[in-house]
Amino acid sequence: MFKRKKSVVLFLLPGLIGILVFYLIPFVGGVYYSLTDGGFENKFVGIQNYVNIWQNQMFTLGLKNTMELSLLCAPLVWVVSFVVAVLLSGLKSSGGFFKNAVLMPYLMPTSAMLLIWLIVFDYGGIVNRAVTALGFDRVLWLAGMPMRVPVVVMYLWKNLGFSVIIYLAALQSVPEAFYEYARLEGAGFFRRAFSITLPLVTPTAFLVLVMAWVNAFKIFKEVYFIGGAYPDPEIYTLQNYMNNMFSKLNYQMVTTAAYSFAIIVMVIFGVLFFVEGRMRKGVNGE
Amino acid sequence: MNGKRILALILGALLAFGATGAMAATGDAVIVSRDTDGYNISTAAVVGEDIYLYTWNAILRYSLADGQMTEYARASEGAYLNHIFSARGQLYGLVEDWKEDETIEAKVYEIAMEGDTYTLTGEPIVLDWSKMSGQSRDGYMYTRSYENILVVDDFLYVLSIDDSYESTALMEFSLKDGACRVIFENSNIRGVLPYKDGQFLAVMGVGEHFWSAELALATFDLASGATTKVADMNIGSNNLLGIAYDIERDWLLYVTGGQIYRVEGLDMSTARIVNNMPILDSSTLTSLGRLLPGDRYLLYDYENVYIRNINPSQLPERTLKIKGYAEANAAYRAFSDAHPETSVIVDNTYSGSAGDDLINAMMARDSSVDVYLLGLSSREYGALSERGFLQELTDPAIVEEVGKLYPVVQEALTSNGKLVAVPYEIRSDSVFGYNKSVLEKLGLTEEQLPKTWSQMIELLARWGDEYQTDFPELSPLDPSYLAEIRRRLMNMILENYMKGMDAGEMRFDTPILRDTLKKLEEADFSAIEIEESEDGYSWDGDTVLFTDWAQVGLTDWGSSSYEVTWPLAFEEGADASVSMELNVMVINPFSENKDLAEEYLKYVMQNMKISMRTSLDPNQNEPYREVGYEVNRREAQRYFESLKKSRDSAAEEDKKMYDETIAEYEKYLAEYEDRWAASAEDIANYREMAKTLTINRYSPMQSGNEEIIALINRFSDGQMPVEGFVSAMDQKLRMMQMEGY
Repeated sequence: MFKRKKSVVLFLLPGLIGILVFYLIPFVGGVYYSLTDGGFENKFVGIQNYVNIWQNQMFTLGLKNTMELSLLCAPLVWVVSFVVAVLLSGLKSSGGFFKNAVLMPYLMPTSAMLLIWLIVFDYGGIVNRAVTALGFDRVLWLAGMPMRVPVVVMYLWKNLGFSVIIYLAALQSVPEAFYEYARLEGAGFFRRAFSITLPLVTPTAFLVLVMAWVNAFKIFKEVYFIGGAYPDPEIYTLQNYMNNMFSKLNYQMVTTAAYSFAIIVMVIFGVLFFVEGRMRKGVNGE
Repeated sequence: MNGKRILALILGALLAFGATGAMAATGDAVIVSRDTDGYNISTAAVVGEDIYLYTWNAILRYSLADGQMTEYARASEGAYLNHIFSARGQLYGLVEDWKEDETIEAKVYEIAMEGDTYTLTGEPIVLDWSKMSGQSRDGYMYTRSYENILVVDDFLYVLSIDDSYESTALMEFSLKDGACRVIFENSNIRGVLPYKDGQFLAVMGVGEHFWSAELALATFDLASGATTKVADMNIGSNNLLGIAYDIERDWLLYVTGGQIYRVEGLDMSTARIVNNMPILDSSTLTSLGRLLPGDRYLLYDYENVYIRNINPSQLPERTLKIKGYAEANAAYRAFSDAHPETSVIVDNTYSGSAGDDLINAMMARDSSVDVYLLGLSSREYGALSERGFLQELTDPAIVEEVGKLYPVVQEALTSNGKLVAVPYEIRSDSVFGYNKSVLEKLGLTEEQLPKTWSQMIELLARWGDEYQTDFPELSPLDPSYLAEIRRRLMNMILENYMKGMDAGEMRFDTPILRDTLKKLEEADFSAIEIEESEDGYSWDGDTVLFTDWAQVGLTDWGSSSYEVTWPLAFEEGADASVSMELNVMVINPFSENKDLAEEYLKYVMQNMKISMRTSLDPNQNEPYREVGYEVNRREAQRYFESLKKSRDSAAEEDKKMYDETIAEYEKYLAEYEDRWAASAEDIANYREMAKTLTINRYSPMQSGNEEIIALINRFSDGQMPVEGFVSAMDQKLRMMQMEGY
């Protein structure tokens, strides 16, 4: 038994070395960078960079915007993808086509589709024509706060498909017999949905939420392509800040911003995992 | 044998054998340098122990035996050469002649030296040059350029290149009957050398794009045409120069990263450094290096001719590495002469962007480079300066020399109050200049010309009504600008506004900029209509009033005789601000040779070009001549004398024509005596303008910034009003400032 355990370590070793070299050492190295001044003597400055960055208005603006955008985008993807997945799972003959169609934007480069979205949201574009048809004034979608709308729409369009596919896999793994039994017992659509479907797809739904949120934290390309490195303050994200610091060759601030953000993300996901654990216990009746 | 003799013998033996390792490699020399000798080098050829250099004006002969240089002037009008080369132990000249039917004839002559002149002798070999003509995609005829000239047996080989650099052909010309044969065409070939067994050694580019290709070695069989790849060189195609091959020893020599490498048996793993070579121009790849007697190697570019010892046992003990496009100028030569124990390596190769390379090197505390050459307004200099990665310069000689410069320059060379850089190159930004003859045609005086940007916009807007009818052939600006005149002006205005402004204090929403841009926004330029010629608009110096490329600074070649520099101000009565771009040398704070690096920078300061010193030092007011003035004047004088001789021996009916030419030439020579690269008047004018001199520093709001370009385009296209533009600019600026530089 003892010998077998040793051999397990041996088999794991290449992977562990990879993790050590490509993840742990750079991670620790990055932490070190964030604790130094980056100057000639590379002095250790403790948490001074963290203090400075949290006092930097652009960092906090980027963080605030990123949080706000993610709070809009992640739930949207989470809910809409579930609805689409439920609809698609009900399709029999042409389901394959729609599944492919919904996944297509995920595979397409954002930059290639940007022009089309810019035309759609142009001041004289389709969206504004619809707005005026409804009796409202045209909106300057590509400036200021309204610019968040195309950013969110582009994010949704881009990331929906992947979440739908994950949901679909989960929905299709629910045994049909459960529904038949429920029907025989007189359960209606909502009873079946809340008592069978939702409890069984909860782990998947949690996964989709986590992934949607992680992706939402990384919203940048959409903003960068529309607004550049310094877009309107309303859509300036944390990724803008890090990208600009990188282009100014200020690695200290890049790492400090990255780790500050990582801590926030870890706290958020810690809470999410805690809630998910409690929910699972509730579902399982523990 | 007495004691003194024994001592002398011991000393002699020490000098001969013992001390060589500590000195510069024996035989290293810069035999011609344009900035001191005034020659431009066209081609070189080696005959025995003599190196011949063709300089357009003359042939120079450098004797390897005694190190003496002799100049041979052209003996007659017909002795213009395109190239020289050696064959059969004899020097030859290749002469291209345009014939009346606009085709070119190429002839090869033997060259003979008589007294202090050279002549072309004997019956020429007429080369079949027909295959050197090509037709471009646009239908015009052109002559293919050619490089990599070499002779094997009785054949002259050249690599000829088409006008689009898409086709390179190895051509063979018989030196007996002039017959031409195209050996092969291959767009990837970069250079060829004679190799063993009737083969050529070829350097090939591997990859789609010419300049980004990696290089490989291949052998090429002349008889069968078969090409066989021998080895990857692991060198980018624009980082290789001066290949040479020693058939007897099976050595390949090449230059990359400022150093000469020697490879044995074409096995790249045997590559070893044998000396330095400070030539930077990668086009020299096809000029080929030359092996000389006594383990020496020759490489030249347009300005310098170097001889280097390639015996690695004689490599100097110390090395000083300079990173950047640092030409081997007077400072380089003076330092090398004074420090024979040090090999100065000038490396201009980068793996990625120069800025990223530099910061990565600093983060890794890399000591492999001692001196960096950087643009003072570059992002990397800004980053190094902010982080304190610049070594303080304390050498009293440097401090003293820097202290002589304009205060604004001194300030630019400091970081956090410490002197950290020395100026290496200077380039003035372009400003408006007006054409004197066009001004006269318009009947205007200098007083009537615009002095501010607003006045310039007003003049351009009035042009159609005031001058169009009377002067339809004249244009206020280069006609090709007119289609996007608003964008051009906008770019210039903003650039001028931002230059020299401290990034921390910059603001765009100011009355002066707002008023100027308002004028630009409201101006109607549609009335300017210049007649378009059949070839489209083309710039003509005699019909355009303003150019936007006039130079503020003093140069090596003098100011334009017909153009007056006319920088514009933003306010009436205010001085126009002028700015300069400075490239500086700084010391790597992690260098292990900081003392040597600072010594080098001292030589840089003490050997500054006269044009640069005059531009930067307000007390340097001596007029100076252009580089090569003496050589050109001597040549002109010789030509004048030859004209007079020709006149004396000419037929009576031709004498009148000669007399006219001689009279014209006499006038030209008289004027030449008064020709200055910078006259006292030029310097005085410059001093006046330099009162508002600023040195460009790094700012994220530089005109090349994509964010700014996008806003300028929106404004110029009428999509954004002035108010929106200045507030958007200020918003971006504020965001940049709040992020921190």
